Amino acid sequence: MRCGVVACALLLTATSVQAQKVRVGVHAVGVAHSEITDGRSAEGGGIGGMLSVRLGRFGLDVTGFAARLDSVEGGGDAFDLLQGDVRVNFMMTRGLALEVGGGRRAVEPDFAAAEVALGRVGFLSEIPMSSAGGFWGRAAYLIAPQFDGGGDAGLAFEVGFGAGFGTRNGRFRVRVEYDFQRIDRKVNAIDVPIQVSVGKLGFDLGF
Amino acid sequence: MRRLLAVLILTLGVPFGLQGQQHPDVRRARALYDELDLSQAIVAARRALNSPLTRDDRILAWELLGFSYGALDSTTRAVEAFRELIFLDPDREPDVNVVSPRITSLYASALGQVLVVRRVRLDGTSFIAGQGAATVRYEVSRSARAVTRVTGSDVDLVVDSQLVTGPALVAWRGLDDAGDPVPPGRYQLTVTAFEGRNEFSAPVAIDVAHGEVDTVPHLTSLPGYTEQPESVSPPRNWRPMGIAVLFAGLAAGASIALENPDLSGSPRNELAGASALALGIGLALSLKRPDPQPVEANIRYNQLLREQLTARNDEIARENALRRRQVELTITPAAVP
Repeated sequence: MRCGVVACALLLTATSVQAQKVRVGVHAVGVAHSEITDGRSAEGGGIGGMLSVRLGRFGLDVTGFAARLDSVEGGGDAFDLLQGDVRVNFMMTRGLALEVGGGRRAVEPDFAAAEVALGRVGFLSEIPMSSAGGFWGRAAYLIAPQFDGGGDAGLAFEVGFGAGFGTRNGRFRVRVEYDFQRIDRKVNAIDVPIQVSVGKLGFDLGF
Repeated sequence: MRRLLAVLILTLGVPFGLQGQQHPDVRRARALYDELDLSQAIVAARRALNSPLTRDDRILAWELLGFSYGALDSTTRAVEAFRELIFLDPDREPDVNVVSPRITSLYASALGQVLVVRRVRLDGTSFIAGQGAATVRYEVSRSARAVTRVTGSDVDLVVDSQLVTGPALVAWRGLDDAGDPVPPGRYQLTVTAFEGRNEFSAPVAIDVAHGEVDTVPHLTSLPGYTEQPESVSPPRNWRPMGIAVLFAGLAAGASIALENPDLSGSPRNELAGASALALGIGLALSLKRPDPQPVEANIRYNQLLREQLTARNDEIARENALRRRQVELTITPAAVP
């Protein structure tokens, strides 16, 4: 309710239509989650939201989603996945920014899949094509992932890309994104890898 | 022989402007002249001149005498008669196209013996006080000092003084001694010629009117210069599609190549869907007309143009402020009632 009031207030008070500083949006997500072997793959969908703020050369991106995943081969139980990510970036040169942040992925019921908390450092490349849209790509090394079931990760990274297309004044934008995350988890010297693919399709508003 | 000569003169030379006479003696003199009874015409004209005559009748009487004496070879008397005629009406002279050369010669001889100012003319004109002048033209029959004077209510100005032989020009700026425009009204412009003790004045009436000076309209553009477009839309191109292919390709390639070998059979529906949509966005951006791009040279050119226009309008505003304090003088010859 409170979010709705804030969103309406932002819409009503928005005056600048060029070079939007704040964007909020919602999106549908498709998630593929694999763990240990191909046989423990789950796939499903859900909804999410995003908030993006640009201030000078700094930017803040907050995204989150909730999805319901079912086992691909029907061998496991369905579970809910809740993920949130925060990224702060600093534009070093035109089109290239250093990005740091963190994220957390929780599952319900417990231990249906691995819960993860992690930090990240990487870069973001953003190429605006016109006032109507643009493309971006990102890659990051995942720092010190923590798992609810213990273990550690030798190699962990994520890559992603996205595209936006909207009105020339930048007010409305359709947004598509894809993120791929690989975490080579080991528990007691046993490989327990995790791999997650997230596709997002939604729209956002600029203020 | 003399009679034949008179007939010849009168055939070649017809006196000018003899209509309108009122006095009976003048009328009779004219009739006798027309009948070539020149001696009786002279008698009648002389008798008329001894009577009180109007100015026009007096002019006609002297004119008849001059022509009659000229026809009778009485040169001296003819010249005397023409001299009196010139004093009465300096601007009146025989038409060389219709009057015999002998008569015109006698008239010219008479003109050379008297000091008169003739053909005083004012060219009607309008000008901003202090920035123009009205031209006065006149002729002096002999070398003399000519003084031009303008008089009116509370105004008595010597406009010009010069030695003149023949035609002369005087420019009057319409200003008083203090340099201010003379008040509107009727004035008398008098040209007086002095030669020794001889003196002759020729006055003309003139009207002076005041008016407001027209202001200059402000400019909305500089003549001959037009503003250039400050932005142009570049042609459509396939760069957005290329970028979409690059990003989608790199991300897809990286995510497939860097998959964990143990999980290489994971579903890739999200990757396929997102890549397809990104390529669609690339195609849409490629087909959409690109944003207009600013043209710096044109922006600077337009800025310069606007500065020039502003400067010019400032000048016009200053000029108009000055013009609103100015007076337009219209100086014309007074209408003869």
